[in-house]
Amino acid sequence: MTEDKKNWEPSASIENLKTRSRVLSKIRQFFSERFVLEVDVPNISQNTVSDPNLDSFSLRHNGSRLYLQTSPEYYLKRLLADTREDFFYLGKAFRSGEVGPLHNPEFTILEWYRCGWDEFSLMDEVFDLIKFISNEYDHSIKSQKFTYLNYFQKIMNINPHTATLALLQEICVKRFGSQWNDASRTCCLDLLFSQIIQPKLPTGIVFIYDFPECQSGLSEIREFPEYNVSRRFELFYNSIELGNGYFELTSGEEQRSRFLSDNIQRKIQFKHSIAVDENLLSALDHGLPNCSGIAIGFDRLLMCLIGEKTISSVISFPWES
Amino acid sequence: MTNYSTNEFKSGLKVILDGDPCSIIENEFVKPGKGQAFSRVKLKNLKTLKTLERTFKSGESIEAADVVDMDMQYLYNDGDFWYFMDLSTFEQYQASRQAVADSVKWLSEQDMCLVTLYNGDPLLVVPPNHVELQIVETDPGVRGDTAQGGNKPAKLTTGAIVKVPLFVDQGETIKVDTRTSEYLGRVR
Repeated sequence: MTEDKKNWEPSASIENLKTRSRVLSKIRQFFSERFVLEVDVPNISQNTVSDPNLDSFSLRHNGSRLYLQTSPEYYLKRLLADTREDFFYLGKAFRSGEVGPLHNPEFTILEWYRCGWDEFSLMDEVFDLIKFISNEYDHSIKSQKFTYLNYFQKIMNINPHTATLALLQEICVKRFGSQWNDASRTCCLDLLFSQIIQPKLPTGIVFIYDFPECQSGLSEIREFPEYNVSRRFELFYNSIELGNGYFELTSGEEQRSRFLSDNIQRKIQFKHSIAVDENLLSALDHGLPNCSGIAIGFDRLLMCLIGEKTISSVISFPWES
Repeated sequence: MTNYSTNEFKSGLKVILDGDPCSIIENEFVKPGKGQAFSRVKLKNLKTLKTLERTFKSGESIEAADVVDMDMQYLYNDGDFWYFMDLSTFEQYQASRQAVADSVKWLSEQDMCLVTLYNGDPLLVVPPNHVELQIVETDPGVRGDTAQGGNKPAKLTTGAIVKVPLFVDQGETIKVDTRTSEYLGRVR
């Protein structure tokens, strides 16, 4: 957003809005050619994520609390369990408190699932999609895949899966100050990855996969002799994080125990607990097909394709706060 | 004791870091999609004037620093301290050599300065952007030489040395920009 703009004016140029409209239709064309069905799911629900790092907007209606959805994930999984079809959602999602040059609390998310696919096939499709929508902007676009371990060892010279918490804390304190001396394992890893490793990723499209087990979210686990990893991957474009994907966890029982440990974490952080989404768990118990899914921040993707530096330059009107 | 949470961080906010008062220059929100949110903050240490960078967990809070900027009149110095007065209350403050630091070479009595108080004591003194001072020492002026470039050093009453054009003479009063030590013109 340029400083001299008047308050009532849009933050995106008309050129960027035209590109946005064109890219939105190309995404729909891409999935339609591949028989992935677009579906609209509710933005408002009685349930929401329990992930301690995500805050939902809440509202009251007739005495009950409702939440704006941080992603369409739970609804899409209920559809998958019921139909075993491939779906995508391209629409709004909401995350409270996330405001910055690369964050807008109300944003457009692209999320899709592929039944029977592993995470590597899905990474290939993500790159196909980016080539398809970017062919008029960036012909030379390249894609590379690395494990989380690979890049951590290359830059930090430690194994993030086997390093002790004490060692991780020591590195964080040395680099970022004494306030990190009691940080959790996942917090240390997030700090080191986002502040040191991410800026050193190669340009173009990069997939980082096999995340630490403590950061598995809703993904399956892959077992190695000395440690386990999460079958989770992240998508980066010129070092900017664009999306997160999983080879999805299908066990309702395991999912329930992760939700419960989320709430323990929330308690430690003085956040109120979030009721477990029984509808999602029932759907998992009914049977979620083996599948992979990814959520991409559409506004950021567009920002990267055009070469803009802030998300507000590709959305019509910025967050009012 | 007041604390500021990272979501209140904004440029100009005064906080205490490692025991020193600091001013926030820039605050950037950083958040991995599935991870912990951070505030990457650029600060200026108001004692050393060094710029530093820190990363905080979102929601973490740090102590506020009792720092205020006030316009005060410079009165005099006794060699150990420099004395300033708040003209609205006539209250006097003594600033240490460390607080006046490099500003000392621009201070002339009765000038209005910006004094930063930390817990009630002067921490920093910023002289007016423009001051008028007399030249006490410089090479003799070259008459008529007003068009050609070239300059020479001149010593001012406060001890500051600035570059002045060749035609300026000893005893003359000149106007100087204290931020750049640049000569701005003669004052009649």
